[in-house]
Amino acid sequence: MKRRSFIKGLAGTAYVAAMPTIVRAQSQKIPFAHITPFSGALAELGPDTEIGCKVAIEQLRKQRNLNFEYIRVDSESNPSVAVRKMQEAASSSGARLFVGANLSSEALALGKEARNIGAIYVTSAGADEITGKDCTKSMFRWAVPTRGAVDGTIKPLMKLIPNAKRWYAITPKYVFGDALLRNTERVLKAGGAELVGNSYHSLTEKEFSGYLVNAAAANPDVLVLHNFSAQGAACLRQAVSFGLKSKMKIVMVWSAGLDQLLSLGPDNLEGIYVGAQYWHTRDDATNRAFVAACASHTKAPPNNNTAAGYAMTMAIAAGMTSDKVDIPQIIQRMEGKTINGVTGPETIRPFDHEITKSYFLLKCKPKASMANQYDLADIVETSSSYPAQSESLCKFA
Amino acid sequence: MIYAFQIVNGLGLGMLYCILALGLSVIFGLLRFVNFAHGEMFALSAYLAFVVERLGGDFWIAIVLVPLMVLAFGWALEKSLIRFTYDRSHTVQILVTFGIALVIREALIWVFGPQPHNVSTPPSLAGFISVAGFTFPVYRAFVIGLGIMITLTFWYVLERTRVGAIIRAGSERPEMLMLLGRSTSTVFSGAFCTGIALAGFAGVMFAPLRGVDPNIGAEALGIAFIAVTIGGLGSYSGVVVASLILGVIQSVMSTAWPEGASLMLYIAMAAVILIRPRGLFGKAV
Repeated sequence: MKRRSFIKGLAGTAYVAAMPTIVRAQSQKIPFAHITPFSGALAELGPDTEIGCKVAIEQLRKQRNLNFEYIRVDSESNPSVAVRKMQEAASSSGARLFVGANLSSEALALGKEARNIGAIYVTSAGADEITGKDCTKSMFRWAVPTRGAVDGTIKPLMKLIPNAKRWYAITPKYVFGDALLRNTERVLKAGGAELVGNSYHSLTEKEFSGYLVNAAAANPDVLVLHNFSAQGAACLRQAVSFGLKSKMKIVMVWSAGLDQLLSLGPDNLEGIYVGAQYWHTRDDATNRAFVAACASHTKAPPNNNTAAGYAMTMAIAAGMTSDKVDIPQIIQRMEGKTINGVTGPETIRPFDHEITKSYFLLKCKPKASMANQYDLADIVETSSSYPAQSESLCKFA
Repeated sequence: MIYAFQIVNGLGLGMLYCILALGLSVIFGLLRFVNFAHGEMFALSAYLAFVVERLGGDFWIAIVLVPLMVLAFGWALEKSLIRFTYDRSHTVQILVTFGIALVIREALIWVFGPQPHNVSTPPSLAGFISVAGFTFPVYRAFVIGLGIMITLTFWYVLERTRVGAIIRAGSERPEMLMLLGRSTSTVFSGAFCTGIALAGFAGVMFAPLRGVDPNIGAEALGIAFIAVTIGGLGSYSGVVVASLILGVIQSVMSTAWPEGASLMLYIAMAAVILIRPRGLFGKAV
């Protein structure tokens, strides 16, 4: 055989040998659906969460050769639409890996649908039922629930201001608000303080002056805000304008994180205590790398939703050893796994699929102390509190 | 004592609602035109106040500039689209203005994003007034005062001046006005732009109270419609009284039955529709 023919033959053989690998890499994309509101009342959630998912997908592609194919699904802030779109994504794209929706009603509906279609679904919604009585084997949750949020804010605050014995709450009247209120009462009672009053309000309320008059009349040491998102911001802004900040401490138990604080501005926030699922200045290698990676997508540091998108994607990846999507096996591998996450060690509990993580109590800074526009608060306490297995209402069917 | 303060707070709140509802009432009262874009005009104005602040301007610039900008926008809208619907049914008017509202809302989300933004209280109006242990924000007091001034000025112009007489004549007998050599289209255009400018004032004044987010328009429209329905469609004095009643109901209910405070606004509207369908001050048709 001539030398040239030999080389040609060798190259041909190498090409044929390599071909299955190339074909395999192209065909083994793993459909991965992010289902979250991109429109409707909670439209602001989608874009930020998406950045977190994409950062995680880039890292997984580079570091573990997992080739997630990102599919955006707009749940339109509507549980029935969310369920229909999950079904569509499963049938049209073959998606079986889902993350997203931090609207509790959507998450609960999607958790049941994920079980029906044989999928995995990781959410960052807050309702206790997600990993409680309505848990499913297919659903996981990355978010400290109401108990942890209250333990992570009220308890340390009671230590910081031991003389504060009279507390007053403003609470949205529905399941989530009730759960926060119940836990606040529990913690205050255990710590020897008193909830001297509570004003419930509807979920559509934007005008809080009447409730703030109630709070002022009760003359508490601390005002506890259980409302969140746009209502939380509106309530806090009005509380500050009514001068309550100078009369009492104010704590917002469940904030939406950086974006919400930015929307309030440092003038309103100075001295306010805020509970958060994530804070970008948390200092460790994983979080620094995450913050840096997000910088290539957006000029601002990551917020709660971005961190949730990243963490939920990484939680699913923790159960994958190859590009094969075998749902029961992935679930089995996820259970008990500990991930070095953006909030510290994050462990997936086998008995309720709670991804245990830290919760942060922030104290907002005066404008003069801020290093930049995002340096709105310092972490004053990091904690993690979840119901024990014996207290869990989760029973997988 | 707390109820006394809730009544005072409620009157203030009612004055805020009055500013919201006046523009809607003026447009319906004078043109018999149903403007479903009123809430988004309010939202647009609030966002423009936010832009003025971001560009280094302050509240005082915004309160002068923004209503003029929104008025210009309203004028362009009236000339290009709205005037073709005056003699059409209310259904057509609702569809057209609802479409405009959707376009404005999506444009705001597209430009500013879905996240809320803060608009600062002017430093000269920061702080609060303390009375008998209760506090009331200076800025709210200012808004209430300005609201009273605007309400009285418009009442005076409409009821006591020649311009007002022409506008009212145009609304009641447009044919007669034409026979007298007046242009009804100018009168209608003026009335529409006046209503839009009022939405502009309301948007700027509300921005430091609530901040801006894409949903503020829908909320404003809801409140305005409740006030206008209770007061009587097109009744200027009716909308003022209805707004004050709504404010007091909401504020007092915040103590008496907090979780039902917002619900009571709708119950009040339903009660008026059932008992007196033309509203408290509306004329029988």
